[in-house]
Amino acid sequence: MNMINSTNPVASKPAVNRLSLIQQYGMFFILILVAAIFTMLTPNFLTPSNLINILRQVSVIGIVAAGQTLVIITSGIDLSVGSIVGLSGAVSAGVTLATGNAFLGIAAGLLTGMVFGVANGLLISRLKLTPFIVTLASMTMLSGFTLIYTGGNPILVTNPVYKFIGQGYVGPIPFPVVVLLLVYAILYFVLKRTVHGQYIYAIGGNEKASLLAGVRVNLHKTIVYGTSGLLAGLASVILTARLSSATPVAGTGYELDAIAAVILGGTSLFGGKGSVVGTLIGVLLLGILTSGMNLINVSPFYQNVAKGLIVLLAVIIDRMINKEKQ
Amino acid sequence: MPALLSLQKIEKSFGSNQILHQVDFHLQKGQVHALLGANGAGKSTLMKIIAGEYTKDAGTIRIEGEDVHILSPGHAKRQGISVIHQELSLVPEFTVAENVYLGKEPAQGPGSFLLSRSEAARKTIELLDKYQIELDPHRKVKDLSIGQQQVVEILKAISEDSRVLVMDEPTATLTAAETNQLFEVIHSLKSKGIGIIYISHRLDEIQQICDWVTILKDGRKTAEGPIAEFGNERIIECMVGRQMDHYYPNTKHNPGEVVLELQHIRKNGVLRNVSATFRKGEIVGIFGLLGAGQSELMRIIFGADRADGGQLICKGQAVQIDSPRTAMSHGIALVTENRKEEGLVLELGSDQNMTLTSMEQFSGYGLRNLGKIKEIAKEYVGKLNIKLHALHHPVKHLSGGNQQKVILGKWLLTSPDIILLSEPTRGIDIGARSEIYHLLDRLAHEEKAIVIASSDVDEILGLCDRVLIMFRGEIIAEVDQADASIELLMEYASGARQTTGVGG
Repeated sequence: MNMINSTNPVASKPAVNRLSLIQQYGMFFILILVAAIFTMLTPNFLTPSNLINILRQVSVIGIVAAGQTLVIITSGIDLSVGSIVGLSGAVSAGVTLATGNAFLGIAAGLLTGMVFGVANGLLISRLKLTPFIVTLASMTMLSGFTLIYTGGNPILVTNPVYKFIGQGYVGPIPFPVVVLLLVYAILYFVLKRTVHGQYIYAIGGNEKASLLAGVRVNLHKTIVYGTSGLLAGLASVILTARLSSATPVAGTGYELDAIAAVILGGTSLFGGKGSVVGTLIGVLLLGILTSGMNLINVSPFYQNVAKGLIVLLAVIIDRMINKEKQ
Repeated sequence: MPALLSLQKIEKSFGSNQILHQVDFHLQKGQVHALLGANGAGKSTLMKIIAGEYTKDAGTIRIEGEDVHILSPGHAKRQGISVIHQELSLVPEFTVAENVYLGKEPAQGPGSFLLSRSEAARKTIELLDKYQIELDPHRKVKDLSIGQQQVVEILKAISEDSRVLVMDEPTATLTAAETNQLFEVIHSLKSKGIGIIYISHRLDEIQQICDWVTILKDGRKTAEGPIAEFGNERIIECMVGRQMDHYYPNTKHNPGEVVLELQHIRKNGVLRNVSATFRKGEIVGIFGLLGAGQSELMRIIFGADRADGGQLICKGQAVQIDSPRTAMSHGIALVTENRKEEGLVLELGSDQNMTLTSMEQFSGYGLRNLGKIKEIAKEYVGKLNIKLHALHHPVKHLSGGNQQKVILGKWLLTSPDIILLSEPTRGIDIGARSEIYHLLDRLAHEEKAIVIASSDVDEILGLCDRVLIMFRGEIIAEVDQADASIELLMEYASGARQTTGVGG
């Protein structure tokens, strides 16, 4: 017998799991802590209606961040999602208005997002361009498209079917929240159980090794950016439906909030590890901060400072946890 | 019985430059076949032809008697040929099983889109059992030692039914214990009829593990035969084409005054109470198995890492070295262990790399004096016999030996009194090694204090006036060259022999 492994193979397994639990729940613990602080500061925080409200408010960013998670696990980045939200919403509202058919409008919004996402993916994978540069360029370009398409004016949507997407309820739960949870459930399954999900981690963990192992890296990367675009399109439809209008500047800055949520969720910017569950926690943390600070009347100016600090703090804590592991 | 892999009269040229001339190479089933040659002898070209990265210009390749044309790496793999590269291609966050079956995951469901992790684990266990390797298939690769990771690479190859394995310097980054474990795996592969082409610069290993040897020089086969017929001298002779009486300089040094003294240096978990003295004009070896602390000690002396306690005395003065900059101001230089990560800016030319640490000499008012930089770089390229196309050519294209000379040039430009070197000849071919040994010898004659931390027992014995032996973060013995032998050094370094009270 070659004693390659000196430790007991069975005993080593739970230790690894316990550690990832601490990491996973580390941010969850911070989430609970922040929620507890707001609960003490204001009686209006911990009420069913406020909690549901928070969920509805984070649904748009949450869906965008879900797609961003996949991209970041491949060690990429998608800066164009904010602009895709703007453009998809405008196209979706425009088509709904022109055809009077909400489903056509929704499809147009989703398709717009997916097309530009796939375009990003093709440029990045086939031409070996840096994700940062490609998506920075398309971010700028797409926001221009939005202004051209809308002429700088908002497009109003009155179609009741369309508005249901953003304003309707399933029982006590707002429809956007249902979509949000569905998106996370599907992506969780994809990452955990499918071959495609395995390749997303493999590409981020070691792209060269994946290529040498016969993984179709270009294809899977393109799918990932396509998914990110599609989800940005979906988020955009929800946003447009909730506001009953598509504004040309909708989605501005969403990419940064989404990236912040992903990082808070423990996904490494270097790729290869991360989870959508983490991202959901990150999204909720940001949502709770916003809602709580609104309730205790913190000026929006200070809110940004506080949010930036929290992101920094969370990442420092995360780094300390990871360091201990080494 | 036909050979497992048989290459006949292989020719290969790049442009007008013919790299391989009518090279024959025959690998039998269950054979470990060393392929040797200095850098530029053509062995990597030959390997790339076998691996499908290059195509041959002429000649035949047969696998078990059948003519094959190897067109691409994928094609080579399907023919049963796999290469274990020096740089491992594993996904660190994945488990052993996930890595072994990466790209060929057992799957189920419509269109096979659902992963079957249990199936991958089961097949991996089967493989581990077949080759009697003990490794937990559920462990993440990043938690494995380098040696274990290499075994995962091998598993990847044999899971694809490879019959020919090419191993390119597999032990370069392994500890002695890991090397032995790898050799056991190699024995197991042999017994199952797998043929292994083994490339290494370490002659001691080749004697230990290989059955057969083929030697190339300048693109031609100069010798072939069972390893038992080849002593080290004959191997070197076939590789360089002449006898190497002076592989090591073997000159007498006259150690002068003490320039550097370590007193009770310690670093938690790495070094324990290390004391030593180093003199002008002397070459001191610090020998230990990988991980014994010798590299860490070098880094602490140089200020790249901080000690948790102890005192450094440099030229009679107690000094605090808290950064490489401070170390340099005291005349200390460190040639680091990892050339590519820590020694060179790979995209820059030799001139830029060599003047990086001594930029003050070549600039004024924040502006670089390009003419002067070129001039001095040219001078050192000549002095150190660095072979390059152009000064500004990125150093990443240079061979390991020439890269190491560029690094040496960089430090010599700072006019150091104390030169520390960590594993100075790792992955460097025999010709360039010998040149580096002679250079260090010359420097010792110029009154420099030379300290070499190495896990290569051969070079420690051949080069050093005095050897300090480290074991688990402590210097446990000091031996003069006259008393040193491989057995004695290994006994100390492996902890089999202990002494007390060395170096205070």
